[in-house]
Amino acid sequence: MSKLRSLSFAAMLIGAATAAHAHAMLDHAVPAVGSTVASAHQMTLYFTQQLEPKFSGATVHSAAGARVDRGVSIHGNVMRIGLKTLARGTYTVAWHVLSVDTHTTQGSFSFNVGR
Amino acid sequence: MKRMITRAALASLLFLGLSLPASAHCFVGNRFFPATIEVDDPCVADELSLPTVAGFKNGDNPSAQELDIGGEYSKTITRNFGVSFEETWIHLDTPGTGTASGFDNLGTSFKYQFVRDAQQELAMSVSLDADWGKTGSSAVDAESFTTLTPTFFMGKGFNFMPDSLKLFRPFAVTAQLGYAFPTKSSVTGINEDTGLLAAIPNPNSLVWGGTLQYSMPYLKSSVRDFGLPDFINHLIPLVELDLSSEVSNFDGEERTTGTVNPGVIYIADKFQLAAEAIIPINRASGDNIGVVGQVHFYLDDIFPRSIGKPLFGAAHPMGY
Repeated sequence: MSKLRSLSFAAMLIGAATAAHAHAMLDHAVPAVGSTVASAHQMTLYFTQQLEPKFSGATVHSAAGARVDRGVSIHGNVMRIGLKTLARGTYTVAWHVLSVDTHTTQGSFSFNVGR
Repeated sequence: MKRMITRAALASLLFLGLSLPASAHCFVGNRFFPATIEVDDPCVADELSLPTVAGFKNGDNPSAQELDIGGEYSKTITRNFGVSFEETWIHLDTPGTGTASGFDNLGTSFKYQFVRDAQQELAMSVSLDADWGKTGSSAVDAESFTTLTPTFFMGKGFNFMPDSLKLFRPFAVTAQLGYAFPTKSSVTGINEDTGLLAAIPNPNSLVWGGTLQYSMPYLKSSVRDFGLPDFINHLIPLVELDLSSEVSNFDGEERTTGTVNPGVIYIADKFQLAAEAIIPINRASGDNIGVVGQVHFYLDDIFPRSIGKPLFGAAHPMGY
């Protein structure tokens, strides 16, 4: 009987672990994290979970500290960031998100233009 | 008077809950510190390790083949304060003596996290661990006395590395330093040399160690996406160092014992899997190489609105 209970508990846990939402982590980005591109007019971030747009966002800064993003739109697990015309150089993307199950995460990465 | 005590307790809980922001299991900015098997991570979280299975030849003389099957449940009381309960079933097969099985003493831990610095990828916490005497089986030598261990934990990511060394940024270290003192200075037992009953000292010990880990998820999401296979991007190779050094009331045995555990952790969305080798640092720590594996569930992700959130206060700050 206790073995049956243990198995039921394990099955419930595994079932819940498969079904539930989790922390939203950055799955990949376009342009890719750490990559070098000829030019970029938009940055697209793909997350592992659905996002709450009201509590999620991102900024993009040049190496000199100038802000070069111009608007963020979020649909499902995808965040699109409009970019000003980018000169050659390194840019840092800083994102923060709230997933639909209320977990917050944040991160940052860089990419290069024209090198 | 009773009302004052109640108010003080509530105020303390409020303080513990509100003194710094938190975001469930061990995320600190870009960094995720996974739960490691021997050295506890520096955060407070709702999590369940079940099972942890280890097979090795222990440090007894003669060495017994030991199988440990254990579990640990951790619960947040507030965002930054939690308790955990740990129990292990032990099976011993000793040459010339036969086999013995039973539960080890119940372990509990009260932990408070006081640093979570996203910019520095730095986390720190303190705990009071208690190994409760007489709660286990004497057949597997569970102690008849309680041991208390105040412990300091820290974790630090290598995001400070310059651009020229950015491939080192996925590295992180965690460390622990504790002082274990038994509540009885000695127990009566049979002296192995004389075979006579004698008072055997229970030494006070430094419990220390750490981990060195390289996060492939961090490499992909924060440094450089090399387009590696998805499975590889979920791995954190690591090595754990778990040591105990007697500092007073010596028992005449080896002063420092412990193991070095190289291994790997696979990080999934709501659970992780770990496998490590157990390499004893000397004969008193074990005989030959053993193995340990663990399934670990992130209860804050699996049950975010029930048992996976703190009893008091919000689990996560809303927005930034």
